[in-house]
Amino acid sequence: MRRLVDRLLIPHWGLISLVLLLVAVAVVGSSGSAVTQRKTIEVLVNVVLVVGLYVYAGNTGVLSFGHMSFMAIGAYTAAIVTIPEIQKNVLLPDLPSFLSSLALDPLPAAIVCGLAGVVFAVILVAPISRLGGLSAGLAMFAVLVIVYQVAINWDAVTRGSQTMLGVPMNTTIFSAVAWSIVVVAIAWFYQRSAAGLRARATREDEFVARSLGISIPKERAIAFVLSGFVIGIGGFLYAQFQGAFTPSAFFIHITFITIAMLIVGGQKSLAGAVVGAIVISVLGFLFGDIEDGFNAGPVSFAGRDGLSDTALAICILLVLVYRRDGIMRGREFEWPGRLLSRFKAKGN
Amino acid sequence: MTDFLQHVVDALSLGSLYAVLAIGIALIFGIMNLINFAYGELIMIGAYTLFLLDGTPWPFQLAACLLVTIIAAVLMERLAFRPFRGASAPVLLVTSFALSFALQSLATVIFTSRAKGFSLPSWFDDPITIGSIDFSSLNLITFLVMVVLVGGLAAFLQRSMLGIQMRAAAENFRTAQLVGVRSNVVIATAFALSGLFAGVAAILIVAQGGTATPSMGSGPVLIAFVATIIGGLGSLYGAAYGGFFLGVLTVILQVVLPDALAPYRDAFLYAGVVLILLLRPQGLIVVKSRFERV
Repeated sequence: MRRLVDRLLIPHWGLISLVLLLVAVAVVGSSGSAVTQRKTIEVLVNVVLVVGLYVYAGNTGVLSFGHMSFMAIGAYTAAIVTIPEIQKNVLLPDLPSFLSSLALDPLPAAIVCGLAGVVFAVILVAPISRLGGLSAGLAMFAVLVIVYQVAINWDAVTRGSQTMLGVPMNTTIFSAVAWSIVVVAIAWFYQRSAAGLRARATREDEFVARSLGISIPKERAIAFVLSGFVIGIGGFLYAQFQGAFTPSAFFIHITFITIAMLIVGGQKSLAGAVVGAIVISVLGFLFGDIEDGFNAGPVSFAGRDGLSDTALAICILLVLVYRRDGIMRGREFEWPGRLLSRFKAKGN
Repeated sequence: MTDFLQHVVDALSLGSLYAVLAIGIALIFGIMNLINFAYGELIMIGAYTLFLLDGTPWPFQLAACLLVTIIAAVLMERLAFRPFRGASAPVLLVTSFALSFALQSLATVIFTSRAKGFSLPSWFDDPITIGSIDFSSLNLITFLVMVVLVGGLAAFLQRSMLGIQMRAAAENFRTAQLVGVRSNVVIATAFALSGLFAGVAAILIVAQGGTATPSMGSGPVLIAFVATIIGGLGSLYGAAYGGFFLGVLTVILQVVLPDALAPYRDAFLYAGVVLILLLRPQGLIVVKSRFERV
């Protein structure tokens, strides 16, 4: 028992605590109304996206303004491989026949979407990982614009600016929480692996890392491709959750909001990514309810467009004023052993 | 030949507008390491000022617009960015996102998201014909304004005491402080100048489109952001070149692309941006002091 605690629980408590947190979110959410349940799924999808962003931006320190292009790739791949053939013939008549006859189950489809993200990442990785800092972030922004433009014009595959609809809505709280746990585990084991540690070394000091024989492009490339996989799955979950979407779902708004989630939580730790995604999503929903207006006894309040976004933005600013390095300050959750032993000592 | 000259006029005017936008961003980046995404909202504030003063004499309307954007920029620094002095670049960035988001949403609360249409004095958009080229006076005004602003800025930075201090601070903030440059004054000046550029941009953009919307700043600020980075972060001239380059490339693509590919113009534009970054990762003009020496 003691060994189990020492070998597994303590070193992996960062992961276990996040799994418990996600399960708690899912359990609380699933006991609520239908609306709450949908919002819970949205929170979990955001967790997947932000963790994907974290795998690259958190570990390498290069903030990307274009990672949601992987989400677009994942979502459109999801549409192409999961919409039933009959509907596809109507919606996407110009699709090549081998694609229009395809209708995968959720699990293989998710993996295909993740792999689509990987393929896209592999295409981009050589140039992107050679660029440093802001240039890489901006190059990814350029990629985002290009993907958006292609999505909005390539009628045969994406329906262009029209809504892509008819995607089977298979994302449940269960599948969302399961995928978010898988994704968090991927990020956890990556950041503790030798490759992950090397990537983190390049984040802390490029020159020292190079002097240790670490190849910066190579380490960044690994993180980049892995984040492509994770966000591809995020795009799949989003598509199967919404059922219908347009290219603008994967453009500037989602890019900014996921970056804000990561920074508010704390860019340098996985716990930061998860906590940031949960906190900002939940706050967003709370303010959204206020915006719709409410009547609470004598207090009645007429909603007005824009209020919830104003409040959310002010909250982000306040968090950053008081916690510059994010809510988690770059730390993972630690095994509360020290706390427990101190407590015991006091008891004696 | 006529067509060609016509396109040159278009390219010059669009390039000038983008250069004005980019300098506004670069001014602040040079000193604070902050890419101020809320710069777009300064443009939005300027446009709504013009809208609210629609009908008043135009010199008053334009001067008020510039004054309001300058004050807004200084207030922005004082209230929102000062608590973050010295924070890391990503934190500053998200602060400016959040601020931009807050101001846009606030504008939606006040003015609703519907576009407010109005027009500036007609001489802004009079057609002018020189030889066989037709263009609007706006093309000419944009170009002249850019020349005056860039010239004025260059003179200010080279000649005035404050300008010299700003250059010193942009070169190395700590050292400048050590030799007695007052950081608050320098940063406030940078924001005020950036507000001035935003106000000018607001006037030019409204003269072109004739509307004010809460999100009108997002497009220009992204262009300015891209132009600043490809120009070479920290270099004001680089930002101006970057803006010009983007404007000219946009017009070239518009002319050259066949109809089937025309909708993909921005995709090609940004592919060009990626190419520039690959060829010159540190931008068109490299500022040596920005890069760590080993």
